[in-house]
Amino acid sequence: MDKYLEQDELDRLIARELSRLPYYAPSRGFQGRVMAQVSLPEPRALVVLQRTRAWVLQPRRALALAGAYVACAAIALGFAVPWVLQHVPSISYGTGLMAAKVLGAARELGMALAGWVLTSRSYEAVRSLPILQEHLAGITVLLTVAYAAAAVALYRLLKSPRGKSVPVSSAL
Amino acid sequence: MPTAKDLASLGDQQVVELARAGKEVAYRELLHRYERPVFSLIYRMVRDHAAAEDLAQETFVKVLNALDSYRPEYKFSSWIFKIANNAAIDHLRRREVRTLSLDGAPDARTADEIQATALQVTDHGPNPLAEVESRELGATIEQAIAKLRPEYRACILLRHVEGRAYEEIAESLDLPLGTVKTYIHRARLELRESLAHLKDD
Repeated sequence: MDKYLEQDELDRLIARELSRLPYYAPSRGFQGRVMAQVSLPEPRALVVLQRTRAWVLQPRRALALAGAYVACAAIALGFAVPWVLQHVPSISYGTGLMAAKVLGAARELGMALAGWVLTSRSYEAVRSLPILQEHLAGITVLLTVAYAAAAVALYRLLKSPRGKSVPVSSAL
Repeated sequence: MPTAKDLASLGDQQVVELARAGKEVAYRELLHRYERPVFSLIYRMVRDHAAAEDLAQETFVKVLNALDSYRPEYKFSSWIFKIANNAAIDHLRRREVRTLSLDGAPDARTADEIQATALQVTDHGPNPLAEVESRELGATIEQAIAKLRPEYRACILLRHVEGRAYEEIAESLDLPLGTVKTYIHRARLELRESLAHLKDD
């Protein structure tokens, strides 16, 4: 019994002394040496200012080209916007007609596909399989589980080679 | 513009956010917070002052330059200790130092090298006698820690010196939680064996 008490006392002494161990400090100037190698991100406002300044300092020819480009766009918009506003009813009618045509075509395509599947030999082969109604639930469960397992396998396959998301190793 | 005083009351995550926004004072605050813990961990791992300083510097430069890729769902301390531990382990792999000498690193030859690599306790207590006893005991503990395997050493230092939770240690050292618990248990057993003479004193 005394042996266990002594051991317990020693454990407590070790834990206490470990928690009392002092911190060591690096030599003077450590912070400065670190900061000299750290590249600080520039504030967003400063980045915008620098970009604007760089743009303003472009050669005159580039500025003239950019100005001409902006003027052309403004003139085109000056004509286009009033025209669109004037023809809004006919534009919306045309857009509706076009959408209805696309929907109709999609429906026809769907019907054709369904008809082709229902008259195909593969569908007949599946229909003629000797599956009893009571087996249907089991088969459905089996298929669901297999599909879920396939999804998990795919997810694992697409993950990083280490198989874990560890911020440090990915960052550095 | 926040001052260092304002930042002292903020959590690590908030300081990191300010650093990401380009505030230099936030970088300095992170350095100030972790300078000693990180240096102490590395120093106790590699037991060479110059190497520890280089590794600590490397750790901080890596961390502070990669703040953009830091993910806030992890504790900042786990992240920085992880990088520090990896740096120390890599160093130990490159150059294996087996024993701790309180009088300097084993490879120290000149008087300056011996002085520079000697373990020095910087935090002194108020009572001179208690201070001497505490320093002696601390030195004995340091020697016992130095004898542990590097993996055990990192675990026990993070647990008892840094006061980190098991989960955080597992995250920092990239080890399963069960392994961390086993390492700490084994480290305690080895420390108990090394320090058995203390119970007679």
